[in-house]
Amino acid sequence: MTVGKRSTSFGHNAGTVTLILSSLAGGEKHGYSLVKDVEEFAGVHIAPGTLYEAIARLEKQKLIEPVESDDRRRPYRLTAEGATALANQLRAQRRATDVGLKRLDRGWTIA
Amino acid sequence: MATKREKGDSAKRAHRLIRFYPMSWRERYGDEFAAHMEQEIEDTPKSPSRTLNVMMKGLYTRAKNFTWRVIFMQPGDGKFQAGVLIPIAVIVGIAVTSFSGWPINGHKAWPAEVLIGVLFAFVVFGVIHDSHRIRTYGPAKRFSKDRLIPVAVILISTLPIIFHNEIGHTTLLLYVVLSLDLILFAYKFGWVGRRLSSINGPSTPVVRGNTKL
Repeated sequence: MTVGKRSTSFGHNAGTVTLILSSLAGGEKHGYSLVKDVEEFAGVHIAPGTLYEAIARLEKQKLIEPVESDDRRRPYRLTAEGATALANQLRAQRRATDVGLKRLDRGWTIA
Repeated sequence: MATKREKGDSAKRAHRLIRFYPMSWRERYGDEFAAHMEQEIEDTPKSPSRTLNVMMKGLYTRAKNFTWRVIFMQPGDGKFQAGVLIPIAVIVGIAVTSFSGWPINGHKAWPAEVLIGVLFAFVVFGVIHDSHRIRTYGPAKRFSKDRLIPVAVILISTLPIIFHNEIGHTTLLLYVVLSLDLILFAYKFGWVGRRLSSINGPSTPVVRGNTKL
């Protein structure tokens, strides 16, 4: 299976990064609204230290960028490169999900 | 809805936690991270896992910054080299010397000897540096102040060995001296010192030549 080059660079925080990028795909958000959005669509709470570690890395990789703001809470938006990386990552996840579900359908009875 | 006092408390707690991060990181993300933390604290006032998460990530960022800076040290970064590498060399040197010439209870307690040797070296460096403060060596000053963390870690990590009577009286005495240094250090840089100086007024700075030290 060939996974998009950019998706592999998500590293050990792939789960958190995917959630953050998926949230920003819906529009620019600051840290707190991003956490609330992820909580709503994924049921996962991202701790502040983990969130800002990921934000700093994503910004360095130019997958997200800060938006000018007068507020202390600086919003971030997805870049074109970030959108491509997210698409690659989600496609790879979908392939893995499809394979897993097919195999479960063939040999397992799920209660 | 949080009251004004609760908001003040959450801001204080947020700023306290942010101090775990290095200065360069705080300059870039500090303000927005503080705003984020304040809202999180207002939502869930007590969360040990959140505190632990911020502490761990902050210390990790510090370690990462320091490591990268050492690895990619530029030839022109002389102050950083002098401020960090020389103290590290001195500390390792004193630790190795103290270990090799300091047989306590055979080889049974050797990890403690090394740890206490390192601790001793940290304290020696800190005391020398505090008494001869070199203004240009900012990193050295920070390194000296930061000795609190390794000293505390070593003190705590060697306590079980002390309680199992695996260290002689000489080491125990040294341990007491080192603990006193920690107390002095806390007095000098910590809240005790600040509180006392607020009662007694600010201390008079030492002036050497035209430079205020």
